[in-house]
Amino acid sequence: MPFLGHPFRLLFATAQSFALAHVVWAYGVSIGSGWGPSMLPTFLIMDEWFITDKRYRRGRGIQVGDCVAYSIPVEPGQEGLKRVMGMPGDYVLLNTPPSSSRAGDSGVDRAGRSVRNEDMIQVPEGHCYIVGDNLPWSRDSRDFGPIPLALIKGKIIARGSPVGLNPLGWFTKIENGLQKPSHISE
Amino acid sequence: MFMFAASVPVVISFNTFVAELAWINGASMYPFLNSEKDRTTRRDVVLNFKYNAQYALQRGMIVTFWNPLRPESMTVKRIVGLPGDVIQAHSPYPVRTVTIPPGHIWVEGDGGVRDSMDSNYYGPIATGLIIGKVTHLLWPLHRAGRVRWWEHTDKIRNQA
Repeated sequence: MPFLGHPFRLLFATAQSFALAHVVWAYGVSIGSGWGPSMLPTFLIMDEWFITDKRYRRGRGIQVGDCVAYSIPVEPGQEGLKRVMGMPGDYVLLNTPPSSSRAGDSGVDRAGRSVRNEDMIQVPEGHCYIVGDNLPWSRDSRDFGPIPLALIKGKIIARGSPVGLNPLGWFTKIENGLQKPSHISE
Repeated sequence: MFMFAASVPVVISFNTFVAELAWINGASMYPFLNSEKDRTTRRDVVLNFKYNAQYALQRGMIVTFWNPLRPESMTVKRIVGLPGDVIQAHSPYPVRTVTIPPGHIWVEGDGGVRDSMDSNYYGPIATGLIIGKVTHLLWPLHRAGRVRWWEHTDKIRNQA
C-alpha cells in the first residue's frame, strides 16, 4: 500500500480530492434541490433536483428565456431559481402581465421614486430582469427590480429527481424557453 | 507532474473560499489605498479575505465586490450604510435620502465623488455581490499590516 506509506500521505490525498471536488462544484456543475411554487409548471413544488452549469456564472452567455439560479438580493445567503425575461438594454414591463388585483398599484424603486405597475423600464447595464413562470405566486424582479448579472450563480441545464436505479433516467434536459415553432416537440 | 497537477485545485479552492491577493487599481480609495498614486505606478497589494465575507458586515469595513454594472470586474469600496440605515446621498444620485433595503449595503470610496464611482452612482448593492473583506495591506511594506478600519472614524459617516 504505497498510498499509506507516509502518515500524512493519505491526509494530503484526501485534501486534494476535496479541493478538486470543490473546484468542480464551484466552476463546473453542481446539483441541488429546491422547492416552491414560483416556477410552476416548469418545476414541481417539491422533490425537484436541478443540475446547474456554473460556467454561466455572473451571467456569462445567458440569454432571454434561460432558467438561472441566482442569489436573492433581499435575502442574503438564499438562492432562487427564475427565468430571465430581459437582458441589459431590453425593455420590460414592471408587472407582466398586469394582473387585475395589482393593476394600478404603485410602489417605490430602490431610489425611492414612485413607480407604477404599468410602467416600462429599460434593463440597466450589467443587470437582468428575472420572473417566475407562475406569475401570481412568484417573488421576482417585479418586486425587487432588475438584479445585477453578477448575482447569477449558473444556468439550470437539467431537472429531475434521483428516483430509480438508472442514473441516466434521473434528469431531463431544460431548454431555453424561447424556441422556434419547428423545434417544439409534442 | 501528477503531484503538481494535484495541488492546483488546492490553490484554486483556497483562493476561492479563503483568501486571495488583490491588486488595487485607481484612486477611488485614496488616500488609504494607493497612497503614493502620484509618485509611483506600482499598485498596492491587499489580502482579500473571502471566508464568510458576505456576513458580519459593519460600517467602515473595506470590501471587494462584483461591480453591479460590470459583472466581471471586481471593485473595492468602504461600507457606509447597512440595511435599514438612512443615507444622505450625493450627486449624481437622483434623491437626497435613501433607506437601505434589506440585504443591501451602501458603499463609497474614500476618494470622494470625483475619483470614486460608488453607490452614489449605482445605488445600494446586494450583499450577495460581495467577494471579500480587505483585512491586510501587504505592499508597500512601509504601510503593510492589518487594516484597522474601525480606527478610520473620519470615514464612517453615520455611526449608530
